Order: sequence, then C-alpha cells, then structure tokens
Amino acid sequence: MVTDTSPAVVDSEIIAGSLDDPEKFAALFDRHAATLYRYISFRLGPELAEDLVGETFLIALRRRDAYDSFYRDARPWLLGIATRLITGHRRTEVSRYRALERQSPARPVEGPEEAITRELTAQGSRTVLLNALTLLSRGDRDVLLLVAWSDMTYEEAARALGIPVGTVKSRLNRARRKVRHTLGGVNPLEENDHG
Amino acid sequence: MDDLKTLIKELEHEPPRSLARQRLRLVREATAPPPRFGRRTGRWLAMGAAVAAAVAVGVAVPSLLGSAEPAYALTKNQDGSINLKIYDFRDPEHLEKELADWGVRADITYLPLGKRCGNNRAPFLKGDHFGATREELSSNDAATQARLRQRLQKSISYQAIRPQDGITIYPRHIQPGQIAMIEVSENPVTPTVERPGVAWQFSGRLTTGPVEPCEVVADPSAGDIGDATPPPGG
Repeated sequence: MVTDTSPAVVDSEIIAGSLDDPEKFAALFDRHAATLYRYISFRLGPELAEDLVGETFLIALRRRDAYDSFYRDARPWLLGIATRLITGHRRTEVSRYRALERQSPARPVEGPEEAITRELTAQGSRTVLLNALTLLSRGDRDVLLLVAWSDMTYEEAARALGIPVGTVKSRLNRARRKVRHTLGGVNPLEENDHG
Repeated sequence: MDDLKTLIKELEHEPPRSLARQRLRLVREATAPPPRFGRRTGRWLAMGAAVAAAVAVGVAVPSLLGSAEPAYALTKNQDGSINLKIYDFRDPEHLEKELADWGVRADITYLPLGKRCGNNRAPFLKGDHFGATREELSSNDAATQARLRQRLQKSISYQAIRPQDGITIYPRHIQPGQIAMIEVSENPVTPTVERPGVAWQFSGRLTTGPVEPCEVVADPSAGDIGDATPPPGG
C-alpha cells in the first residue's frame, strides 16, 4: 500500500480523508508513531510502549469522526490519548521512576575532580528529579511531562488532556513548584511562557 | 536544556522495527467492518495473546467442537438477558460485534487446551473483591466451595455474566463504559454418549478497561472442572 506522507498534506486532511477510506488513517501512524513511542517509552519503558502506541492509534481511528479539522496538527490529540492510556498504568510509571532513582547514584564516577563534582551534581539532581516525579499527583505529572516533553502550548495541552487552559496553568505551576522545592530551590525547569 | 528535559531524553527509547506490527494492527482494524465499540484483543488472541483472568469459577459445558454448526448462537431472553452458546472456538470478533449490536461491549477470548492468561489484563471492579484466599480457591471441601460460590454470586461481575444455560449475559447489570471480558478455554473431557465432544469452561468479569493482551501460560489445572452444568439443550 502506498501512503502519502508528504508534508504538504496536513494531519487534519488525512483524518478527513480517512472518514470515507479508513485505510488512509495509516498515514497518520507513519507520521507520528515514532513520536508517540518515544513519549510512552520515556514514561512507561519500552515493554509497554509498543502496545500502547497501537492502542492509541486504534482509539484515534475510532474517534476520528469527532476530530476538529480546524487543528491541522494531530499530535496534541494523539499525545492526549496516549497520556490517558499512560494514566491507566500509573503504578508502572511510578515504579519505573523509583527503580531508576535507586540505580542513579550507583554509577561510578571517574575523572578530574571538577568533572566528578559536575557529574555528581547532575546525578544528584537526576535522583531528586525522579523522586519528585513520583511525588506529584497524576494530573500534575501528566501536564508537567506532556508540556516538558512536547513543548506544547498551554492551549494545545488543554485540548490534548480535555481540561481547561486555566487548569493546565495551575497544574503546571504546582508541579514546577514542587519539583523546585525538592531540588532545594534550584530551578530545573524552563519558565518560558508558551501560552 | 534543563534537567528535566535531559532526564526525559535519557529515559526515552528509540522505536523498534517491531512497531510495524502496530501499523498492521491499525490497518486491520481500519479495513475491518466498521467497529461499534472498543474491540482490541480478539484478533491478537488468535495470534498468541489472549484474554481474561476472572473471578468466575469455571463451569464445564460440553459442546460439539469442529462441527458444521455455526460457531455460536446468541438469543435474547424475555427478561433482556442474552444467552450465548458456543459451539466452536471460531470467530470471536464476529461474536463481539454481534454483542455490540445488542449494546454489550465484550472482549471474548478462546484459549486452547491447557492454557490460561497469566496476567490480570484489566482492572478489577471494586465490587468484585470478595477476598478469596488461595486455599479457599483450591479447596475441595464442599462447604468451602459453597461459601465461595455464594460470595462469588454476589459480585458485580457475576450479576452480569452468569454460567446459566451456557453463558448468560445481563446487560442491565453492565454500566456504561464497562466491558464484559470473557475467557473460554478448552477442557479435556472424555466424550460420552451423554456428553459428546470437547468440554469448555469459561470465566468472565466486568472491567472498565483498558484491557491488555493476555499472556498465555500453561494451566496445570486445566483438567479440573468446577460445578458442571448439563449440556446446552440437554
């Protein structure tokens, strides 16, 4: 099967075209499956990621008639579906961060003193960061990680998660505050306003 | 690049080649008859993944496997319940679709002899926790079994999916968004005049999903049969 993935065709057109010819929906997979895989795998690990990518697209296929063609880029929509699927596996996600947190400090550090200090600082903040992620509520974590990972605007994140823009902002602020707090006042997060 | 983004980059994985399987899955779904509900496992079950760990105790129901009859029969009872008789382990997708037409979102899995799902696959409903211990489940004591059955019959899932005359589904006990997850497995029973063919047992429960693929494992207890009911129509 030949699938047209030329960038001239926007996502919303692919979705519209797939209403009568569902097979055309596969073009959306070709464009965004890798992106979704990276997103899901960073949160849940590679074991679950593959199946959940498939799951995301099946859900999207079934809901494609409700897609608002005003939005040309389907990524926020797909990432929103994936995020909701990830939420169903939040215990796996939290255990993953905990396991990684335990591994972190065990890495041997060798080299010039200055480099060692730098490396230890990086490892320390990594551990603290992983710990902070496990402490966030799932709503806050979803918004923080989705925005940090994808550089979505507040509006896109709100649409993706099906929540008001105000909620995105307040969750993001709360999540950032908590992470900052656990890092001991060091700000690890870009504060550039998207929205 | 801030620390969080660095961490994210470290935790990310590159897509494997096997991701193409998910594309195939999508194309299959896209080219299948228009889905009416969230079917996801049936096809994959056929490929080696399968369904449902369950609260229900297995019920052996002899059937005629491999006959020229239709794979199953669905009938609607006067009280709104739906009776399902399985004649052959074929075409779970079609069965799911037909159940969907009747307003029941179902996830049907057929498992070969001596296999079961090794994973829980989907969240349990709160009302299904009837606190059976391993000892109780494996007990041969008639009183223990009776107590267990009593508790089981009070569970939400049992209200919706009952071992009556084959399998009987009560849609009025299924809330919107719940999926009836039914796992049917072959059972070894020596054919007799009264009970020709191969027996099967099923277990079913409700879940809100998401339903994960079944991890098929060997089931050493496949030969054990719970409270056998008479053959359908027999």
